[in-house]
Amino acid sequence: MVGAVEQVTLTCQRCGADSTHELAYAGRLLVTSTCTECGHTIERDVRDRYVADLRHRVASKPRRMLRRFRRHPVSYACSLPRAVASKPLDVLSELRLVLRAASDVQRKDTE
Amino acid sequence: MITRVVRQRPVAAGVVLAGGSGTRVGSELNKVYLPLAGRRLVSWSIEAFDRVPEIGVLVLVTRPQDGELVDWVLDREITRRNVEVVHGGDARQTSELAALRHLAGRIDAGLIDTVLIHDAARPLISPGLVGGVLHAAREHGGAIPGLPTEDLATVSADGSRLTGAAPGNLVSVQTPQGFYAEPLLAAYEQAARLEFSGTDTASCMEQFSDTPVRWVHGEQRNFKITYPHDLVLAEHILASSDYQVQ
Repeated sequence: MVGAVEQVTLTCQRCGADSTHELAYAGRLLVTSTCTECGHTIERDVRDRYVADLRHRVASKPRRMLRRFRRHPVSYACSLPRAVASKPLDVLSELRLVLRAASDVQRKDTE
Repeated sequence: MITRVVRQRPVAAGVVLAGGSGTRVGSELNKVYLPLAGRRLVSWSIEAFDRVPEIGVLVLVTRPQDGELVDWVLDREITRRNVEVVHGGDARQTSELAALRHLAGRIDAGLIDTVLIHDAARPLISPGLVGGVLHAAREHGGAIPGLPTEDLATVSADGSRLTGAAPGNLVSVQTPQGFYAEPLLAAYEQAARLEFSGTDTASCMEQFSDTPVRWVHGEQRNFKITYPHDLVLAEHILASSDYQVQ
């Protein structure tokens, strides 16, 4: 899996069908959307925004962690080792998605 | 001994519909739980209602199968602790009825005077518009937001040819739609008895109540997430406001 992928029913801008769309996210940013009926894909070059977003996420992480810890101290403490181990892989996966989409957008622009 | 009875001032109730009509079965996500700028779609609407002080009760109407997601959103993204979760029906009408029946005791007791019903697929609702609809509903009985639409045309019954410009004074209707609570509850109970199913709250009120309905000017940004591109646009708008409800 690259980034976070969600499947949802949306109306396709090309085929007009209410169809399943695969949406891939990198952090807070939607990077690609693909209609599973006709294959219509929207890709975005979000490299600059991703860097800014990542910076914001890192800066706000302590506050978010503290909020969760206050609400559920035990379950949050228990989930921490797994989260710490998987986070670098998540970021790597997001980076791959962002770079691949940017490269596709650049290729389409030059065609 | 003299006992003083303090009569509580009635509050308004906000109802956010997160039933997700149009969602297919299987592993698909209900649209209102899609990520949008770091939060789920539905939590942007809840946040906007939470910013309006007159909204004393906030109800989230959900599907039973979304239970885990609902708990996750309320725990991780919503600061307000007393959001009341109600399970809705298969259609918008039954979901609205479920919310109104949940509130019925407080409506009958005069604790809730107005109800605003909002579609969670419109995440960019502003507290200003919620407040505007609420004030208009309290003044006139009913209020719906809408945007004047001038670029419409009519087509023949078979859809093959244009028959001219659409009549003037048309507005495209948005949510939240607000009404006095008592006639709203009565209208929905009557609609349930007659198995009427309307397209939105206003259509049910038109059919079963003579409460006057005013329209207030809606907001361009209060659009419904329908196409993938809508998500991109909504993300841009939120980024431009530093990811804050405005």
